[in-house]
Amino acid sequence: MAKRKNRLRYLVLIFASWWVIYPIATSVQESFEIDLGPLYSGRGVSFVGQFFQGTGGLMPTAINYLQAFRIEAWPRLVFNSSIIALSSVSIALIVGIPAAYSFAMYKYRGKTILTIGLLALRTISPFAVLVPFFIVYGQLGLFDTFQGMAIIYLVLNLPIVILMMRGFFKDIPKEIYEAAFLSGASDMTIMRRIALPLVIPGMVAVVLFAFVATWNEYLYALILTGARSKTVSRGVWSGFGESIQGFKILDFDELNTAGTLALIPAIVIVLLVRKYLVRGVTLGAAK
Amino acid sequence: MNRLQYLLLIPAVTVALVVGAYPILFSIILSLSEFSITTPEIQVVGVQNYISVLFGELAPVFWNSAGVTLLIVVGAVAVELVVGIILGLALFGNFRARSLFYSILVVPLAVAPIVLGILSSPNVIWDDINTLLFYGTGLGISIDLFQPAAFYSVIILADAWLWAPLIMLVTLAILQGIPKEHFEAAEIHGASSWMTFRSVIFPSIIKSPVLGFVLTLRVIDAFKSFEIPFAWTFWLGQNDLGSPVDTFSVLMWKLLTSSVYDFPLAAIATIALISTAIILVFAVFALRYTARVYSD
Amino acid sequence: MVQVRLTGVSKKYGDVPAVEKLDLLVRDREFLTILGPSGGGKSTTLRLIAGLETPDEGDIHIDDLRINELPPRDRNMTMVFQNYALFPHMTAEANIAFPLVVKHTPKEEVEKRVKEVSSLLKISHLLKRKPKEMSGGEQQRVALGRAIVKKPNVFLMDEPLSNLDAALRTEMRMELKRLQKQLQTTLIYVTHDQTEALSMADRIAVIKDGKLLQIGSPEEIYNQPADAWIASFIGNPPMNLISCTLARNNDRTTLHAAEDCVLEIPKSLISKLTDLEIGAKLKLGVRPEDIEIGSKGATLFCEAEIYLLESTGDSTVIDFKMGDSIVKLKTKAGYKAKIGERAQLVFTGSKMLLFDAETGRAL
Repeated sequence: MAKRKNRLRYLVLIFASWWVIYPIATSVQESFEIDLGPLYSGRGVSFVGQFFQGTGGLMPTAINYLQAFRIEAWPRLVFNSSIIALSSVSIALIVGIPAAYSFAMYKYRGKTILTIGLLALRTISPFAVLVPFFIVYGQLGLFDTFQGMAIIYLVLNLPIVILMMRGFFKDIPKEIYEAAFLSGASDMTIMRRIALPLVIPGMVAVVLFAFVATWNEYLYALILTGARSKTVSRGVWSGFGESIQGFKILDFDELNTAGTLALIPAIVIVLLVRKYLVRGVTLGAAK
Repeated sequence: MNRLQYLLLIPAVTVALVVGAYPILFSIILSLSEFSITTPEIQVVGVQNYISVLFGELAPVFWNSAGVTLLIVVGAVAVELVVGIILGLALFGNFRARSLFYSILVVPLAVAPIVLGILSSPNVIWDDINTLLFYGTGLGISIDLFQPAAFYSVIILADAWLWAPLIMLVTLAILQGIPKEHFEAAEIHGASSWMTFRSVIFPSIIKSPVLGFVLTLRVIDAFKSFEIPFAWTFWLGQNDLGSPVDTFSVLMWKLLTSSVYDFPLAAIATIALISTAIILVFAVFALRYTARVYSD
Repeated sequence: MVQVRLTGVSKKYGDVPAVEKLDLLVRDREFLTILGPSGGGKSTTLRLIAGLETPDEGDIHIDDLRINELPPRDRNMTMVFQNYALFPHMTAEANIAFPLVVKHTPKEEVEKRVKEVSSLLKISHLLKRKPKEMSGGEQQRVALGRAIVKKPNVFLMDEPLSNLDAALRTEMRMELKRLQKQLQTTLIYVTHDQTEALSMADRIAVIKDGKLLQIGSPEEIYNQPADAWIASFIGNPPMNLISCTLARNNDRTTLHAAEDCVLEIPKSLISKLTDLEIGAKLKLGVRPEDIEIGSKGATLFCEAEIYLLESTGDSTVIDFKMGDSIVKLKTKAGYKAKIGERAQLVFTGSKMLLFDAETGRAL
C-alpha cells in the first residue's frame, strides 16, 4: 500500500521535474550551438506551423556568449537592471518599512481597507500606468532613465515590501515589544533598536524577492526603456522582436543565450531564499 | 494620544498615490479627451472614447480581447490549481530526494515570463518535438501549432508552468500546518489513505483562506497576461488588431505600436480603465473575503 | 510609597469579557499573587496595570495618580514574562542595560548598575552571552536583571517560573521572595500554581471569570476560602466538598451527607445556619488532612469504603467512596489498608466549613 503510494509519488515528481527542466535545458543547450541555416530555431531543423522547412545542421560553439558579451553589451544590461532594481527596492524599503511596522504593530480603523487598497494596486492595468507615465516622462525627460524606471517599479515593489515586512515584524513575539515598551523605550527606539535588527534576515529576503520581480519584469521595460536603460528582460527579447520587425535574420541562438544569462541570477536567488519562498510568493500570507 | 501609526503610513501612501492614484486619475481624464502626441494638448470631449471602445470602431477588437483574456484566465488558473495541488500533495511527507525535487519544482518561480514566452512559442522547443514526431516515429506527422486548440493549450500550459509551483508551495504550507495528530487519529481509527485524504487533507486545502487569497492574486495577474501571448503575436497576426492571442494587454501594446493609428493614447487609456474596472470589481469582492489572511 | 489601586475595572476582548468590575488594592511593598485558572482574567489584570491594555471602564491609580491613559513607558513598572522575552540579538549585558540606555543614563552609571545587578543575581559570568547560548534558568535571571536594573516602582511577573523544571522552580521561588524583600519593591505576581502562590505571597488575590473572589493572606485563603471553588482549587489534594442536606432530629441539627453519614453540626457552625430551612442543600468542606480514621463513638464520623490508595512519598492519600462522591484523606506515609474495606472517617469539627451548594459562597 505505502509502496504503491510512493511509486505514484515518484512518477508524478519525475514527470513534473522533466516538465520544468525540459524548456530550460533546451534553451541552455541551444545557447551553445549555432545554426548553419537562416531562420532556424537552434535545432538545425525548422517547422513553420506543421510544415517542415528543411534541415540546416548544427555546430557546437560558445560564440553566442562571446557575442552577448562583446557585441550585445550584455554586462551593460545587467548593470542597468541591477541599478534600477536596487534603487527601486531601496526606495520601496525606505517608504514601505514604516508602513509595514504600522500594519504589524498597531490596531486602528481602516487598516483592512488600506490593505485591500494596497492589493488593488495590482489590479491596475499596466497600461493605465504606462500611458500617463509615457506622457509625463516625455515631458520631464525621465523617459529611458534609471530614475524613471526605479519610480515606476515601485508599483511592483511597494506591496511586496509592505506585506512581506509586515509578516516579519509580526513574527517577533509580542512580549519582546512589550518588554521593550515597559523598559521605557519609545516607539521609535523600539523600531530602531529592537524590531529592525530582528527582521534583518527577513529584509534580505524581501530585497532579493523584489529584485527578482523587477529583474524579470518586461512590459514597463519594453515601453519605457530605450538604448540607455534597457534591462536584461527587455534585452532577451529585443534580439527576437526587433529582428522580426526589422526583417533581420532571426537568430534563436542569441535569444537562448540571452535567456540563459537572464535566468541564472534569478534562479540562484530563488534557491538562496528557499526558506522564505512561500512568504515571498504569497506576499506574506503564508509561512 | 498616539498618532504614530498614521505618521508611519505617510511615505508609503504618498508613493502609492503617485504610482497608483495619479496615473489612474490621469488616465480617466485622458479617456475623456481627444489627445494626439503631436499636439500635446488634452481636450476633454466626453465619453466618445468609451462609446468607440464598447460599441463603435474598436468594439470588435475590444470584445475579442475580453474573450481571449477570459479564456486564458479561466484555463490557466484552473490548470494551475489542479496541478499545483497534485504537486503539493506529492511533495508532502518524508521521502528520498524530496529536497531535490522541491528545488527543481520551484525554479519556474524565478523564470522571467518573457523567457518562457519565447521558449514556449514557435519554434524553439516545438521544432524539437516536431522533429521527434516527424522522424523519430517514422510517421511523418507534426503538431500544427497554428490551430487554436494547440496554441491556446500551449499558452495556458506555459502560464501553468510558471505558476503551478506557487499553488504547490501554498498547498504544501497548508499540509504542513495540519496538526500531526489529525493524521495519527485518522490512522488509528483505521482510515484508509483515501478516507484520510477526503476527511482531513482535502477540506483543509479547499477551506484555506491563504489558497483563496493566492488564487485571487493569480486571477488578477492572469487577467493582465502579456508576455506569453505577446510572444505568439509574432506568429499569429502581428499587425492585425483582434488576433486570437490578443489579451487586453497585448491589444493595448498593439495599439501603442500600431502603424495604422497615430498613438491612440486616449483609446488605450479607455481600454486600460475598462479592463481595470472589470478586474477591480472581482478583486474587491474576492479580497473582502480573502484579505482576512492579513487580519490579526 | 507605591500603592496600586483598581476600582471597577472592566475589559472586554470583542464581546468576551476578560475582567469585570474588578476592585483590587495592592499595598506598598507587598508581594501580591494573583491566582486563578487559565483564561480567568489574571494576565489581563496584570496587563491593565502595566498599561499594555487600557480598561474599558473603571480607574487604575498609582497612589493618587490616575494612570488609565499613561503609556507603559511612563509608569516605571517592569514586567517579567513567561517566555522571558529577552532581546535575541543582544547580549545579556545589553539586555540588562537596555532600560537604562533608552533613558540616556550616563555610561559609567549604566556599567555600575549592570555590575550590581548581575552580581546580585549571580550572572556576572553570563554577561557576554546571547540568549540563545543560555539555559532557561539563566535566561530567567537575565530577564529579572533587566526588570530590576531601573529600580521600578512595581514589578509585574506573568507566570515567570512555569517554563522551568521542577527543581529550578522551587529554587527560584525562594530567590524571588528573598529578592523582593531585599529590594523592598511592590511585586504583583500572576500564577495558576497554588503551591507557588501559597509559598511566596504576602497576600493572594483569587481571580476567576474576570472577578475577584477573595483576597487575603495565604493562611486566610487556605483556611477560610470564601467560596467553594477556591476551596476546591487550593491545597494538595484540594479540600473535599461533600454534598449534604440540612436536617433536624429532635432539636439536633444535622447534616445528611449519605446514607451512612449523618453529621452533627459543631457548635461553631450552628449560628451560621439559623437562616436556613430544613432540606437546604449545602456543601461540607473538609481538608484531607483534617480527616482521620477512627472508631465509632466520636461525634463526627461517617462510614465509607476505601476506594483507592495513592502514595505521594511523604504521605498517603486514601480515597473513600461515600454515596456518589469521593472523599480524600491524607495520612502518614506507609499507611496500610485494603481496597474495599470499610472504615470510620472522623472529622475535626473546628476545621469544617460549609458552603451554599448553589452559590458556592461560604457560610
